[in-house]
Amino acid sequence: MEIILLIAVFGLASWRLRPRHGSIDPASIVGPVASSPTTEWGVVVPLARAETRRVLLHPAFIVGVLLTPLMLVAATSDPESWRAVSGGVALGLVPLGWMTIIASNLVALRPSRSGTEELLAALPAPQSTRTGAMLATVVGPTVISAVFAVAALVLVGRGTTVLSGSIEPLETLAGILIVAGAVTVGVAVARWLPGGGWGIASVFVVIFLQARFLDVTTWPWNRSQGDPMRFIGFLAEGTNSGANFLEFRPAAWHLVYLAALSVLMGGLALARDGLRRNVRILIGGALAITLVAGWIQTRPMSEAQVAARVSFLLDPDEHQVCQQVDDVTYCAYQDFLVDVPDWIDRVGATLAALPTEARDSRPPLEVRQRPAIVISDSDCSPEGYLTTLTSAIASRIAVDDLWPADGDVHPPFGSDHFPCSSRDAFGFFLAVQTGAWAVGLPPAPHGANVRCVASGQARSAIALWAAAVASPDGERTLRDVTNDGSQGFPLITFADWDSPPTWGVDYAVADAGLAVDMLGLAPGDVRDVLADNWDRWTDPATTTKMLASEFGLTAPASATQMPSRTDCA
Amino acid sequence: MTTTTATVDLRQVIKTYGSTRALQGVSLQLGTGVTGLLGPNGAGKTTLLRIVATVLAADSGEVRVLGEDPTESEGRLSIRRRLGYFPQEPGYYASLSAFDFVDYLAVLKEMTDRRVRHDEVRRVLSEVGLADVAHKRIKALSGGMKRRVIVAQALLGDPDLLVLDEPAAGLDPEQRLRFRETVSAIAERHTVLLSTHMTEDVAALCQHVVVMNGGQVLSEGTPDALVETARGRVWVSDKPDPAAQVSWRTGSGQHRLIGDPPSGSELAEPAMEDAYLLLVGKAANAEPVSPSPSRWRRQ
Repeated sequence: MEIILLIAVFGLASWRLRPRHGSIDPASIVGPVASSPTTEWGVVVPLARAETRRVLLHPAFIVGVLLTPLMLVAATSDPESWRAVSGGVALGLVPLGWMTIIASNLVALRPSRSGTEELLAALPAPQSTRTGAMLATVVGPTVISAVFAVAALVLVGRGTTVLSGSIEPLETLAGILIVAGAVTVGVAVARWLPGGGWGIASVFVVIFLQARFLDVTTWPWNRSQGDPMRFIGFLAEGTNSGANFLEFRPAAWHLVYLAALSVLMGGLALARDGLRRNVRILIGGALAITLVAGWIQTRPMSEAQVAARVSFLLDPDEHQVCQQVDDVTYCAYQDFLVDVPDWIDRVGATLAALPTEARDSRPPLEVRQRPAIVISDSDCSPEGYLTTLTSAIASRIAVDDLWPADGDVHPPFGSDHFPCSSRDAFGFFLAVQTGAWAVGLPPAPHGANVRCVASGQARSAIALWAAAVASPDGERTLRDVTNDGSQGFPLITFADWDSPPTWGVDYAVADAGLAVDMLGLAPGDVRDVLADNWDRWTDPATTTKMLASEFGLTAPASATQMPSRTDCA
Repeated sequence: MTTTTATVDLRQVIKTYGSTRALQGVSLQLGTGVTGLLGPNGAGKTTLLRIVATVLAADSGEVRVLGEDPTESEGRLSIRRRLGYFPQEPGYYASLSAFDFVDYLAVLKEMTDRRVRHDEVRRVLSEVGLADVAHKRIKALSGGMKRRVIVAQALLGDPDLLVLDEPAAGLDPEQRLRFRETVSAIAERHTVLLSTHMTEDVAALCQHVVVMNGGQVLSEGTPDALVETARGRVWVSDKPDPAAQVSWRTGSGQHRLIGDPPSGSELAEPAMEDAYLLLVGKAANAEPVSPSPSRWRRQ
């Protein structure tokens, strides 16, 4: 299908962009004149100025400029960290790169499209000079993309969201270099494949190469996020698996790689007019740097690098910063300390919604950050966290060491949210973990994503109710979580997912329904009733029917066809 | 290589396109002044001009333009620096203004000083009468104005050799008059090689005429000498004569006949057009052409 689409687009573009005027066959033109530095450089600068205006005013480039703000907004929405924003800005510049390929290609092809080739062939400045000037137009789109990048970073910085980490200029520079490289691609294609359709086809080729061969989870190689071979893509995603300390992509070398690739394309464009010595040196040098930078990027991690990253994951005490608030200990990695105030708010509010007996009957609460066992991949599908790590790290990690059944509350890296949604859940998922801890249910999954089922247990409804009470817009969030993907299934699931990945319990949809009903009661009244007999309500043997009866609510229907999973003790 | 002082010196130049011989051993020596190149479509005029303009390479023969050999890159560069060229189908960047387009070409003519270049662009646009519309987009100009833009670019830098391939096509009478004046002024100092179908332009402008057909030079000399070749062979009659080499009905209702005298006709004063038609004759519509021997060649 993609190939048919590609052929159709190319055919249409070729027809639409065919040369309009009769012109001399370019092959019959005598050839470039002798080059002399004084001739060429003297002409290249004013010519580049003129050609830059043409590229910047080309309709394709203008379309790219108009699209870019939208793309930047989309790529930086719901930011969690400056690293994500920095990379998002680069991603947002990619469509400008596509349109730049088309614009520079068509501007470079203008002589043949307008029938002025013969006229230009009789002028002293040869095509190599015009090619050089076209390549020098790289300055214009590069400056425009840099302005966009800076503006996006400033605007995000002025937003209300507090982001972890700091701006990572090397990540953003990749997007700017991609726009710069787009000029050289457009010119090189114009010189070697002189037809307007080829410029558009080259955009598809670039997209195809990136999406099909150099991205994660795509045919044919299904590369993991930790596979360094991905770094030879143009816009290579990081390997941080949600945390900067896990990143091992050499960002500076990736920029060198992109820059060298761009120069290589420029050299190929110049080679069309003869392989002169300086062009040979340019191509040879750029090719060598491209290969070296590509090779360095794809080197596996050293033993020390692997050990450091394993230590980060398995020895959180060594790397996390902890603080105690109201007898609760909060521990987070350095990059995520900005999230701790939100944790304190949500955990505190959840505990406040419950009777004081909830704390008194439990060991001290520890809220310690650790990765979720299941995360969302680039296609918004669930992916085991270990598979996102490079194999050198993953092979040294036992699931029970990374995710022990310790009974603590475990916020993941970044905020917990609906898969592929920018909707803010206001910490509801962390609140559910806290509620589960309070009622004696396992807050988080452990080991190889081990959870238990608490269907029909009164305490499960209490945990969900407390979380909804403690979270802004909690009732809507609880309803949405309940309805997201269950569709007749007795347990809460996300669409095309398993249960919300940071919960240690598979909650029943019917019990969540009771929790929603309880939200219609005064929270203080509920708390008082629960306080009167806290041990009873948190006893696994106490059912949701009893709880409903206590509050005069409709008892949830007993779940039928419950999957055979371990009940929560 | 034979040394020569001619601006354009062609010796036994041959050019073929596949199985078609566009030029069949053309030899010409052209100096200062305007040389008109006459010939029917397919005569080889444009191929000849392209070779002179260094846009096309000859297959064989010797070519020297402005004393340089265009087969060598240094020579080609030197020629292009001193050349003004108006191709048969020039093409435009329609979205640019006349000024910007000529300015763009001026940069390619190595005029790198912005102020000097802009002065020169204004000069050539003024010379072709486009000063008032210099900042209009080319696509908004009339067909004649567009051609004058190309004439203007050919005049950039006051070139030593001006090669013009049917530049006056599409110009109105007033523009043609002005064009003739411009070319004449340039020809006082430099060499102009002009291809045209318009014999009146040749008569008015050229000091030298070359008639081509079938890739060969049929004849060359002064316009007067060409006209003289038709003296005694142009007739006016009230009725057509099928035996005439060429005949047509004039606006007065009489028939102008070229060839042997038909009965009842009167001898007429020959014009450039008569001589040209007599020379090319019916061969203009026939391929391949068997050129008739020149009877008026003057070197």
